[in-house]
Amino acid sequence: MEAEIKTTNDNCNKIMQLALDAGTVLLSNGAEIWRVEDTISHICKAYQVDDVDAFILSNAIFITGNNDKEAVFAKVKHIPLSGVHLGIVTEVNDLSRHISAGKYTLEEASTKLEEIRKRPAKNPFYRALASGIGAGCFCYILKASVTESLLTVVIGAMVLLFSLWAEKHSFPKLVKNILGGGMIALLALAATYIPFKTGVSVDKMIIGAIMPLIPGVAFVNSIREIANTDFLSGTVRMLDTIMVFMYIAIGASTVLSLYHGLLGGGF
Amino acid sequence: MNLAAETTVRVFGAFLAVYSFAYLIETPKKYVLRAGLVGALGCLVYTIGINTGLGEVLSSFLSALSVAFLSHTFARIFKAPVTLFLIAGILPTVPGTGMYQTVHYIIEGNQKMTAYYFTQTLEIAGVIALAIFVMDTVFGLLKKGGWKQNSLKYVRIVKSKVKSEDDVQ
Repeated sequence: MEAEIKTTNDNCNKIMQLALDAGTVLLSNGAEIWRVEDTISHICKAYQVDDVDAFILSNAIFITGNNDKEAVFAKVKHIPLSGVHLGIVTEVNDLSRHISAGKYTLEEASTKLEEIRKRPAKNPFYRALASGIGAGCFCYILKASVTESLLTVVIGAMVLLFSLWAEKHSFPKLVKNILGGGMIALLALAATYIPFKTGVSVDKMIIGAIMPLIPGVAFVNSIREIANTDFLSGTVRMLDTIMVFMYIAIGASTVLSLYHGLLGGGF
Repeated sequence: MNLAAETTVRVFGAFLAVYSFAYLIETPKKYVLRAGLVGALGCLVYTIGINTGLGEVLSSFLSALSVAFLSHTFARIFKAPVTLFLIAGILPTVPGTGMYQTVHYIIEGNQKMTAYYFTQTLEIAGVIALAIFVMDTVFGLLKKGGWKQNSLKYVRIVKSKVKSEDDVQ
């Protein structure tokens, strides 16, 4: 017990830095606000820094910590709204529980966190496949025919590949989603020119194929944050969700309208 | 009979869809299947609701409620964040269709259909939010009423334990 209590200034800094890093990793990978708050307070408590205040927004962490002996640790960290990796969230969550249970020393915990943070995303090919299958199944649930669903599988996969490419070249969200929506509509229109016995419906294919672009994580998190009275972050994320929905729909609808309006629905 | 077969196929479709999306948002391998199960339950409840004539909004509410319930239960059983199961599981209920149709009809200039789809989207999004609120609150109460998350597991707060903590202080 006594060995743990001697928190020097150096240690206090390190502990707070660990807590801040854990919070940053969580927040940038799609965790909710209170999970970040809890993780920070658990880590600090586990290493005996009691006087900690953390204020967390959906894109920033403000944190101060004090052990009554040394200088106060204070930092503001900006975290842009970014991608989702629930695997990392789960791992950091487990790490925080293990730290709470006293299973890691400070150094071990820091190394483990660094290891978790560097975890790569899954192979784009498999992700595209998953996206395609997901889109196709959604299309099928919405009472589309098997042909339409199979076409949607192709469209869904291509859209995810486009989306990953756009993210890699750091396209703005607006451009990415409008182009994504437009691409879906174009591909769906192109699919109607493939001669089948029965015709295919453009609308159903579009509705299925936009599912991979829909920001499900932001949507669910915003609701749960508002339910948990984190109104500020919840509203920001809700607005983010609505805007992304709008961009996708605008992209798709514009292409459709141009097709019907300018080309008269055919060549 | 035909209805049962159709429902089975739909539920399986939802399972596969949610499974894929759980994979897409990088859910850890061991939880992907469970997320798929959550989604399948949601779809089953929704389909039953529609077929018994409950209407789209009430069916969505019940579906979201069951999804949230199962997610919270799984999260406590497998000691994983609730969002793992909830995000992918809720996706089939999310009114993506309505959202798209709304904007589509806005651009087409069809005000009647715009109003119809806009209202429907708002209603469904609202009841999903309500369902998640309800379940978060219920499970939050459960935590206060005697069950506490003690680092690695959920434990029942026993009086003697509380006493010993007081002694330390």
